[in-house]
Amino acid sequence: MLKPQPRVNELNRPFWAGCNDQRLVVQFCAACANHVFYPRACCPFCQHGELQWKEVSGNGTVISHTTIRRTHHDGFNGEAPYVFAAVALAEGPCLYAQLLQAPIEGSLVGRAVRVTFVAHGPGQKIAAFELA
Amino acid sequence: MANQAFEGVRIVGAGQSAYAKKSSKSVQRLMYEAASAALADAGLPWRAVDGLAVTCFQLPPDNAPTVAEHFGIEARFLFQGVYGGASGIIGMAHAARAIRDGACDVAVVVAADAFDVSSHNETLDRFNGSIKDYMSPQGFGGANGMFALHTRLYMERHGATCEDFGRFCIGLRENALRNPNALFKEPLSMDAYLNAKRIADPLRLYDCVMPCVGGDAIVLTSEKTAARLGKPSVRILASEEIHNFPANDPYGVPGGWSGLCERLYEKAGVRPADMHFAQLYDDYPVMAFVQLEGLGLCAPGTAHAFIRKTDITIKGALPINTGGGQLSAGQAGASGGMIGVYEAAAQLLGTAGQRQLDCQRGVVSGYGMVAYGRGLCSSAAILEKVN
Repeated sequence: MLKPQPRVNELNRPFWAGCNDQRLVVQFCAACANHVFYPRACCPFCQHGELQWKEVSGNGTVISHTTIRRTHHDGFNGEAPYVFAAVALAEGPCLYAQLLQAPIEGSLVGRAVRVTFVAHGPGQKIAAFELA
Repeated sequence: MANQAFEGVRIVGAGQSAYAKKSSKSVQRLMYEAASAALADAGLPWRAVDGLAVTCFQLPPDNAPTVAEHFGIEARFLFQGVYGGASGIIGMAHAARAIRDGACDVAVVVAADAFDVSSHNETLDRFNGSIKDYMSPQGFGGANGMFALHTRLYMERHGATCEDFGRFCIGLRENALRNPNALFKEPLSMDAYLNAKRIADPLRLYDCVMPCVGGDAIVLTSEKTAARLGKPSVRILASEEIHNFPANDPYGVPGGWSGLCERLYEKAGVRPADMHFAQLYDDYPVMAFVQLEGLGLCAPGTAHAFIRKTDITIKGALPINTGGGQLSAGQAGASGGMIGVYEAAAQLLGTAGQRQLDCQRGVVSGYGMVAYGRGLCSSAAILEKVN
């Protein structure tokens, strides 16, 4: 079964196109030097109206994580149980993604992770992470 | 000096539908049943109603004006909550201001929904843009996954254990056994809690609210109309809301109560120690812990220790969620933001039946609109019996 698909639009196309090119691309505010995710119409730190797109390192640390045993959508049933995490990118923003090939028991909080990209749906890859 | 924001306004009735796992009833019918119960409790007829505050996830494409049409109310005040589980308190505050300002005289504040697990997941999946595009495709596991992240973080930061969350759930279940409308009718043991199915680690089955069918309502009116009813009434000492607090920091403080707490008690002219009960938004035990701390009922980072030494049942030192809360009465969608308001009003009006407390005042809190990793909307109110 097809997983839920993101709506790719003018606001977020560079991010999703970046995933397909295996590059993690997020917004950056030149006015306050903050990286921004998820994609916004203006900077949520200083409300500057011109955000740039910038490729980031793909390195991050696990803020918190869970082992999903009961999925929210049948498209994920074949993968459960799997690890889902909140990851703080080295550049600042928080991304939510699966943590692939990670142990499903025990704490991974604070562990270093690195981005990877996996097939998600027709013509679309999605960001995931692996323990570094 | 206490703030006079809600002077001249009284809560005069509270009503709750029976909670059910399944029902073919429409959300309009559920709202009607809860509102009718609240009006009957107040001793006011439907024809007196000229204000309406509604919150219902399953209402669209209908809305507050069509609910007024549905019920045949000529409304001078309408409110529709878009703050999820924070909406019950916010709707109450808006209705109270409308009555204070003379816009209307009798307002019903009502919430209802008819959810099961799959319709709950479908609603959450398209709750807002950030969930739809940046959490659901990534496999977030629904609200369970989102709050599993907060639960693990709370445990790691503060040393809380699964048993601490279990104690909280068991206390609420004991309260629910005295609420005839509650979904859960059997006591919960620690063994049953710990051995329940794992849903999203560290969350187990009884950490997760049961989506269900139900509705809750209260009735507000002017002091003048309340006096004619010749019945007990309740006043709002203070009601506060805060959204997206703290901005850009989903895991700094997961919820905004610490951003409204000082204002709340200052305006009410009372202290946390003066509360005789707390009706907290308990979608997950960890959020109730965060509210205990954010509302000043215990020190930051110590809710788990507080729960270890405090009886939270109706016999205890600080009764919490005296009707069982969402965790043991059920989460009827948007009614999750109203069940605490109903329960606080019923306790202070003296109509809480077998679970009636001897109480003068208490605090109620709401939480809603989960988005990019957290709920964005936090609300809280302090209500007091009028002697």
